Amino acid sequence: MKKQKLYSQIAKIETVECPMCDAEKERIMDYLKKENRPKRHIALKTICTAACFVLLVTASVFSPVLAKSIPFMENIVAFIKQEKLPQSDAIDYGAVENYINPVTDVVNGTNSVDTDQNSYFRITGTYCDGTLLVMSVAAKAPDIDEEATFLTPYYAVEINGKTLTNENGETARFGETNLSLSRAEDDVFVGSIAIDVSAQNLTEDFTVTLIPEKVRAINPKYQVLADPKTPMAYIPKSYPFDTVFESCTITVGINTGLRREYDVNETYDTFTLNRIVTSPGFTYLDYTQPENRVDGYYITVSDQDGKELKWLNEFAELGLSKSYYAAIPTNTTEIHVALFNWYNTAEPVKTFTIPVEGGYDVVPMIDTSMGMVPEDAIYDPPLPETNSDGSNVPNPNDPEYPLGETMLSYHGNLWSSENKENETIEITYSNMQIYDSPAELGLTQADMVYKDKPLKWEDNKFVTFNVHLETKGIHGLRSDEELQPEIDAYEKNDGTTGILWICDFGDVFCRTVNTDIGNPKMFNPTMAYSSLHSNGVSNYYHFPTNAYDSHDVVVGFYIPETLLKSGDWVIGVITGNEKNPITGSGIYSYYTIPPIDLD
Amino acid sequence: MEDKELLRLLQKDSERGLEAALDLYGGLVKTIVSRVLYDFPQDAEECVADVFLRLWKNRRKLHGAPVRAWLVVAARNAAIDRWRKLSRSLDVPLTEEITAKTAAPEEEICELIDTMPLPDREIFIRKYYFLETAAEIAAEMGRTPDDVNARLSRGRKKLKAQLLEGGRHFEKAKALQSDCKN
Repeated sequence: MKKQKLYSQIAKIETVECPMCDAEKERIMDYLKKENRPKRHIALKTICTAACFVLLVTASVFSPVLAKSIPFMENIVAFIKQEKLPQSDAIDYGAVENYINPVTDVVNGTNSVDTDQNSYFRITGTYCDGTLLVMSVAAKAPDIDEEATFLTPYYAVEINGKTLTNENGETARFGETNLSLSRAEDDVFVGSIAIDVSAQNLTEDFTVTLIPEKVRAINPKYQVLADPKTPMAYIPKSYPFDTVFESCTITVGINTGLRREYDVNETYDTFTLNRIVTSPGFTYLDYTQPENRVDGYYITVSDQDGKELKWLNEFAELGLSKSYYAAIPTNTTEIHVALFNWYNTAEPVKTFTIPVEGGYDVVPMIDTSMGMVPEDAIYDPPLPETNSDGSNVPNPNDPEYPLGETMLSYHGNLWSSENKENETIEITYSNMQIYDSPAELGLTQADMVYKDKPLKWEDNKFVTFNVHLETKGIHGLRSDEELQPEIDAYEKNDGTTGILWICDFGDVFCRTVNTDIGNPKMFNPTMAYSSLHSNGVSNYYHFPTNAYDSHDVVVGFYIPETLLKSGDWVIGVITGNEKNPITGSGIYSYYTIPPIDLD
Repeated sequence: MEDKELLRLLQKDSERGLEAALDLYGGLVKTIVSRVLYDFPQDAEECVADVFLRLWKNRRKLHGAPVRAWLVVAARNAAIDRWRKLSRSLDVPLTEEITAKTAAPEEEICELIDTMPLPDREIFIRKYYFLETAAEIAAEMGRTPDDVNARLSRGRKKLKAQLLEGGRHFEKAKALQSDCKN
């Protein structure tokens, strides 16, 4: 149900209201007047450190309203959560907000506390447990377009005067995925940064310098095309923004006392769990398993009641490994680490139980429907229609190819290289075969991609196609420095330069928006089978192909009989995003499937 | 005063705009907030102020949304958030009533409400957004509390089934399971 529809329902309903007396209104207006004046609490920052603390204490006694306004700047992490600002998803670090220290030290004057100045970029609070560094950041940008709701700085980071670098030894540049500053007041934007400092082996106070380079002012509500020639690649609308922020330097204290370490040293098969580290920001699994073990184990971490700890995928983006999970709450007495085989995630093959001495005052995430791209975003040009399962409805203007014909051109957001003319991909689908079940084809559950999710489709057929695929002149799509941390086994394949990731090729799409196929939830268009895994290239439903590569592969899927009979569907090809092969980025094109007489 | 006029006033003259918003909707917001924070009058008042502060901050974003409905949702969420914070820092008993209010995920409730016939729809909105008790809903709608409870129970069961289907939000579904038993 769209929110607007819900709102209109709510608007119609009357309820018995308690009256609000004048004295109440007056008190609330006093509160609002104070909160509405940005300069009032920003001006407080000009007061020296000691005075600031005195004021905080005094204010708490005499005016809860004023006390509330101070943490707004000192603990932006809490503020972001409270206000449900879009960045809140990126700061789900358990109890971190309870341990953020306001920044009071100014090393070289660049982290200016003079907040009355026309514009500034400063760190207002920090948390560091020796592994995770979280910083609250505020920026004042008075001349920005009123429509812009975010500032997204690109910046470099120095720790103890040394610039953080990437795997190639080049300056690491952090971007909007690490810091988006949301407009909190008229001209003040706030956000938080989380940085992996585990490699720095920090044991005592250290200095951090943020060096803003390029800053964009954007409004994700308005989505425009990044390149008019590339359909479907929308980016937020940008606004001119000329302010150059000064870099800022602060000293950060480490509170290693927040970390607790539990030695485990237990082994199952080739997997050894060495220890577990807990902190207000995360729970870390230190484990080892042989590098040549490409499949490894699927791991879940839970408490004594079986409540699973969320895997912090944000940490993976920060450069930390995939062994970080959500912080444990105070009442935790045990941590359970369960190992599963990838092909059967129903039952663990091994569970390690580690007694712990409680956790931290974890602050739950506040549910928010807001994301960087809001639900009511306006797209220019408008988005194409989608099916009820979210898959794209083929554009009637896109070419369709009969089975057996080689497709020579492409559609969608496929290429990132500039040399587009010489890059081609040729795909031929042929030899459609229909089976009552994959077993007829000699396939077992283990051959199916969704092996851990039993397929319960009734009135479906299993359909396979032979696919011949040739790539020519593919380069620049994926370079070494763009490689992500290992995601799963197929990442270990060679040929990292000039790779085109094919994923979900063979997806099934309804030809029309409202095709009645019974229960749409039962129609899973994702390819269920690819024979390619048998040659060792990939055991997943996507694989890389290099320049001048060719592949022959069989793909198969379940398809509702009604669609087979009506012919009201097409198959398409989706290529992977060059940086994240798991995410399909564009439909390649479509093959026409004629109606089939199943009788 | 119409919503457009109110939003314009909030943008042009914050103080007058907020005064007008309080005059128009202060009682409504106070009512909803007090239904959660009835034991904490000071927190309730701060919460009401927070809701109007939020209205002011969102004054540019409320394109076409009915302000009254927006305030109902904002008041509900703010009150529950505040109650959650209080329940962590104080020894606040977990009453059945509040557990029911906080357990159900909003997105699924929206979906569920959309599929409901009219009386059930209004009952659910009254329960989950206006935070009315079954007795209050019954009085407002001219039904018996038993009828209201039966419809709420049926809706929760449906919601639970909806959550369990496809394995979504298993934890939330489990939380709802206790509601269903009530």
